[in-house]
Amino acid sequence: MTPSRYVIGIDLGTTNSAVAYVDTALAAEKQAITVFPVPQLVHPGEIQDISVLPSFGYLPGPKELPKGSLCLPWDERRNYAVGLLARTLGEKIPQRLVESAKSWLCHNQIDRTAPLLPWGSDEEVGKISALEAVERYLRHLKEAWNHVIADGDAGCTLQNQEVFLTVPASFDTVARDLTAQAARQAGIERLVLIEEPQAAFYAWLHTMGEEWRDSVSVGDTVLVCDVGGGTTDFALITVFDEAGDLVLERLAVGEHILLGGDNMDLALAHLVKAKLAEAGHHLDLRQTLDLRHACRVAKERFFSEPDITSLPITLVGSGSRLIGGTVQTDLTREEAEGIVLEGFFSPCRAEERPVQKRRSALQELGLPYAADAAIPKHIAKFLGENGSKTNEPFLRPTAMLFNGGVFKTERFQERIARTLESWLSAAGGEVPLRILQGADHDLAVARGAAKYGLSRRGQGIRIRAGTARSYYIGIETSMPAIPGMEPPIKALCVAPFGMEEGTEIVVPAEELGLVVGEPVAFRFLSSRNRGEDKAGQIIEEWKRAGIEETSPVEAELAAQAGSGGEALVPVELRARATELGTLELWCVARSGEGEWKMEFNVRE
Amino acid sequence: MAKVRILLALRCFWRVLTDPTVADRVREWLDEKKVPGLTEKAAEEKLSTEAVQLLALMQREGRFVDFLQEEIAAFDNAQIGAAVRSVHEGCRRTLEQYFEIEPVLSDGEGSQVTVPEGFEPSRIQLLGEVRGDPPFEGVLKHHGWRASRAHLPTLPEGWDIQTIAPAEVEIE
Repeated sequence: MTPSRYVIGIDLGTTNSAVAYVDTALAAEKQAITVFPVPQLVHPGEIQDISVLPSFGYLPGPKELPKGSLCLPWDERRNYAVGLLARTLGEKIPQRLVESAKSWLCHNQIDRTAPLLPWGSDEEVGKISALEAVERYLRHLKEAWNHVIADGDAGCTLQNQEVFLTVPASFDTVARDLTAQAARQAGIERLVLIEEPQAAFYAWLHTMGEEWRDSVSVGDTVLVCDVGGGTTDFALITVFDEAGDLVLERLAVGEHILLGGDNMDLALAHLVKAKLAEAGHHLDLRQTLDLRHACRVAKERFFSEPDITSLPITLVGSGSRLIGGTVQTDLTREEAEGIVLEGFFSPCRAEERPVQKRRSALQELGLPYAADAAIPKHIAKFLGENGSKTNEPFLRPTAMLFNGGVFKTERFQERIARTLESWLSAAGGEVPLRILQGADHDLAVARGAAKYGLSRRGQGIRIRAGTARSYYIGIETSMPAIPGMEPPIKALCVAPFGMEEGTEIVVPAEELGLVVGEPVAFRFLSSRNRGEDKAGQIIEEWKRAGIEETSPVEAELAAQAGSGGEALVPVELRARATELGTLELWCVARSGEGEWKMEFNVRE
Repeated sequence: MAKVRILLALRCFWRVLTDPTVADRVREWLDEKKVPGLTEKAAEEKLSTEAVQLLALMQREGRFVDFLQEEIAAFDNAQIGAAVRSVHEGCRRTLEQYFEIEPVLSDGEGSQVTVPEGFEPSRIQLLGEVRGDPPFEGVLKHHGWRASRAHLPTLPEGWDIQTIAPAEVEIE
């Protein structure tokens, strides 16, 4: 395919999405990565261009808004809202607000194609699926782009451009597949996925230009720590030498942690609310919303202006009595630091691990929010999981790159870096940890995604990545049947960690036979930490080996003309790492007479 | 007043004579009898949509109408001061969003300025010992404000233009 005029990066964030692009039709020296301000509804009937599209959807009731409130310049009959208006409407009527759709997309205990969101709401709101929610955000971005930039020129429409869409590094191939499916349904055709921490690293490479080679050296391992509004994501990138050239490789990725800056604002708001309650003031809905906003502002001021010892938190009355209904209290530095620094950035030892939620028999099937808010403990766990790569208790980074709105406050970066240095020092290694200076913490991922697009065109270095997990299918072990007990399964490795895109592996395995005309299903498993497993390897005690279950895979071999009834076809399994950034499993007939793609079943 | 109108009439006469598009527009205008004075009264009775909308915007962002409508005599200054911060923040945001506002005179307040001949009295107001004809020399007391852009958003079709702020009912 011919290279498109625009190279577009889309950051599909949990709380905010953004678009950045490069216009390659401009003269080389004028080509810059530009953020596309997204036109969106900000109030009923009112459109403004904003640098991010809040990733929220709102499903209004039939009589809720005046006619024409949800009209978009490109669609007069839109009956739902996404973006800023969706968020503000949803704050007032939470049961109609779709949020965190991206985190639901990787929640493998729910059917991600079934209308389940907003989670826990009444059916009458007309729920949508996680897949559809993500599709709506992407469709809005596409339509906004086509309205503003393409403006009637078919060659410039988003569907004809190369789009680089970010996913959390922790997404398994099923969640990546669903993201790609949502993008296709939204009409984005030329798509490649890129992991968010990698995109943040590409953004750093872009700001550094050729000077990046002076900032890192052979043997460096960079820990990318990305704390967004609602999620935290880690990745390790190493620098090594290959025939005299510096090579970057993504070594490992962390798990999906539902913890972010919004939690900090909520924690502060909780404290202030309790203080006000003590003084006899009880907040209503509108004041509670104002309080969250006030706490975010206070957090940013406390940690960037060291001289402030106390800030007033004022909440005006929510009825028409503005001054008479005003309540006020002070938030002191001591309190704010207690909550934010001690709660979220509290130093710990390298051996410490986040507290796990105690599992009760009756557990609500909501989003698995992190039970422990201490970010350093999550880092300790991540580095500990990867210690085996260097035969040490934990993998030692030499540099860090911070990303996400939280780290606009430099003190949080320092706090984490000091904690990691204490681990390095206790382990008797090189201590100073360099902080790579990233920029534009809110928009770096979108910019980095566009930069990745340029790198794929040969303009700049690429990070070697490959699949971020190893994948397995469950094979039943032969044992005498015990009523009421499923036979245990073993894990057969079908795709090793780090399979590079465009490559294919034939899984060496004993004879496998598939019955024609009958659906077959395999349990499908994956691990982020088993870089050593080869395709064909069998792991018996997989649960203990850090392998977790994901959605099952299925295939149905259509009966071929001429072949009679229930023929058993000998097949071999093949794993393909696609250019798009997903993994496909295929059953290929040994006779060479056909191949069948195995589909992920996300309806569990 | 009469002198000003004579001047205006002469200007109109000249423009109609020399510019055919102006002539066409004046003809249309006269034919439709949209002569001020005849329709002024009807217009007065209609609500000025944009005026109400501006109040609505100030109220939405800064609770401006609540603030003005409240009896504040009983509150002490500290209490009023606390609330005013939020009114100020919100109203200012509205101003920045929908208007571009700049000083009429860019000189610093307190500096010496010259008011030229033929100045526009609606833009510059003279105070104090005004004698004779311009140009005048004086001290700039207030630099004035003018809107170089004012654009209120288009309201949705079904919007009740008389509503400054909707009543809010919370369902428990």
